[in-house]
Amino acid sequence: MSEPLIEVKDLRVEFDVRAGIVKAVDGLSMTVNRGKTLGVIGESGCGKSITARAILNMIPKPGKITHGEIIYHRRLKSDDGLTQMDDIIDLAKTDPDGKLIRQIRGGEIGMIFQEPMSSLTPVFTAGTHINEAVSLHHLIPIRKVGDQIAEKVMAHRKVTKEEARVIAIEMLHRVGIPKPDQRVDSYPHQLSGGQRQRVMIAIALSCEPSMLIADEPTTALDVSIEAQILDIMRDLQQSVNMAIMFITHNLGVISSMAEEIVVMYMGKAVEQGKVIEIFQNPKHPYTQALLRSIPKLGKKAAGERLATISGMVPDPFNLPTGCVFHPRCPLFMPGKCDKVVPKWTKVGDEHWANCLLYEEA
Amino acid sequence: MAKAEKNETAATAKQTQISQSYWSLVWWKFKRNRVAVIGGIILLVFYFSFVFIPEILSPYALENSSDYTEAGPTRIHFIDQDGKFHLRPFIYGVEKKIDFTTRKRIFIEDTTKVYPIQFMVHGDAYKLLGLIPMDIHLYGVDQKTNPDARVLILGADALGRDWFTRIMYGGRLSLMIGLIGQFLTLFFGTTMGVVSGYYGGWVDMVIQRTTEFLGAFPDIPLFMALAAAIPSFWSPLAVYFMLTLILSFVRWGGLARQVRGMILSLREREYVLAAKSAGANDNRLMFRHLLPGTMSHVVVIATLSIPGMILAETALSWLGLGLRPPLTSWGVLLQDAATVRAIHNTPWELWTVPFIIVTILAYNMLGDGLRDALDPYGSR
Repeated sequence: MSEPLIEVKDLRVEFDVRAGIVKAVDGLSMTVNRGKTLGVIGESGCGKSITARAILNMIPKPGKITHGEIIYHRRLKSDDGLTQMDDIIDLAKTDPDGKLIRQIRGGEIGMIFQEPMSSLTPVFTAGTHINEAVSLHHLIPIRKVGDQIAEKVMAHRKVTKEEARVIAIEMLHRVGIPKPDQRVDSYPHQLSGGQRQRVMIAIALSCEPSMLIADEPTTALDVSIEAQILDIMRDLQQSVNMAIMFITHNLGVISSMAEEIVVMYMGKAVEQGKVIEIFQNPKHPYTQALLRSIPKLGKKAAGERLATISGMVPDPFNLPTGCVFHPRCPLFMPGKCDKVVPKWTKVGDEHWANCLLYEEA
Repeated sequence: MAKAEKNETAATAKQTQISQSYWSLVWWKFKRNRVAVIGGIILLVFYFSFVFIPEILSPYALENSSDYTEAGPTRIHFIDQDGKFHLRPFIYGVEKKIDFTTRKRIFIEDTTKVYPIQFMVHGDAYKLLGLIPMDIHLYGVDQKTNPDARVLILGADALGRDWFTRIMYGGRLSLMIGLIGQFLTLFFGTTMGVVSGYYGGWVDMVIQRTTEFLGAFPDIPLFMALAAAIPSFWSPLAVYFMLTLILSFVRWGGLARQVRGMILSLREREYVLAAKSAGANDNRLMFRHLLPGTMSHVVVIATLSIPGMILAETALSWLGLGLRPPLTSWGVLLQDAATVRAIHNTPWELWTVPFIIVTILAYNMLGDGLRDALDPYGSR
């Protein structure tokens, strides 16, 4: 049964810039379940990355969380690993530079980024990066089967240099880097893009987080490497029972990775549901348009053009009234969509949409 | 068989070349710049001989005065009166006279007294590095057998002290003040620059206005004011450390601005965000992730501004604001040579100047070479 890990409730993130206030995230609600993958899709600038950063309370200035809660169901294991301690934290209210959020960042919620080329500090070797993550959280991440006693002794103790090196090599091995004992001493510029992304994943996973936020992790990689990276993420997810929030605008990738999908548009969730539901039976006109705009191999009739979503993303300072999607919507209902703000409506089994088409009049 | 072996060695050679680290690439590039290497060698030789072993190189102790007051450089001979060549150089004894028209002491060589110059000769006792008691000097005349003879290759000052010895010992303080002062400047400058660039906002504002404030002061009056604030009863050594502090306090601004500029661009890189998302705190981000990125630049700036430090010490001491006798630095030596009388009567006291010029030139040569070698985006 699904058990919530992160619950985002009516989240609003605003950027107070000189030209006005930009609502980057505007009333977003969603739930990430323990051990499951949630896909977040949407156009560039729809607030996907800001949501991810809000979860780690790392909103760049001058943005801030103005409303809403991010409930994190924290589960701490006691030293002997037998009893659990549950705790509920509102991440939106933590001090962004405080000790608590820094423990959660990296230690309990890991994050990997879009650009593996620039996400590693150029002066540190791959091993140093992983060791940093490990030593920041004072954890021994390798769980050797039948080695419980040793683990108990090692927990909550500073890792020595030799141990840290062994951990780093082990992590590199797990993410499928060849010759990990040599690569551990490589600098980022000596690694290829795919290898760097693997190192990023190794860093994020080295503390066995309960959730991984993957912000377009394969956008900068070529297709074959992309497939390998996705395989690694799936394998590791199963081995450590980790939730993944997978942010992308690549619908093909999301269909193979996620169990549940949230579609975002202009800082709002417009549709949420199981992968199969969303792909086979999309309800919101925006989701329908997104799916139509995927190029299909071999199905093209002569002279047929690729379907696009008409119009442009609206000016963030001048949002349309009513439903924000109405100026571009093919099913626009005059007098209704431009006046009434749609509500979150259940449209099927575990399937919701934010559209007036499905609201009862 | 031999061919296969050769191929294998070629392959391993290629392999090692590929995995060369950044610093070995820098070293390789630096080595090809002959001017920079020469500058580096000069500095190594200067620092080694002036800082560590001036006691060995100089023939006398620093405060060993004699009645050779204002004696000119001693002539060193290889050929004696009879035209005979001696492999071991020698000097003649001198007779002191007073020229009554110019009222000046003159030293006339007495060719009857011959003193051979010896190498590794026993002389004034000293402690090498302040620890090892020794009395060996690189060259000199044996003082036990010939107490009257003195070999003064760059002449003597008004107290009859060997000028060459004084330049050696003076170099110790002048070169060290450059290094220590630059180290302090680096410390202040990079710390303030990183903090200023990383936090931005009002912190940046305060730090930048402070550097502007310090930069807007004319240097010399500011030095004068600060130097005047040093109590006169302090020991010369305390004054020396105070002076390095003052010099670095006035000079950190430029470096802080450059570091700030680099941090402003570096802090927007994704790796900073990545490190933050791994749970790193501000200090860690600033000093472990951001600061190393500016280091290649900082090293060059530091190398190029050490000469400024040395010159500042020289200028201040020359003005009488910096180091004072009995300390000996190149600035103090220049002060001795700064009068018209000195230039007329004891022109050899200007020998300090070439030492200063060579040091400054060597630093600039080295700094230019380092800048080329450390720049990863350089075209050559």
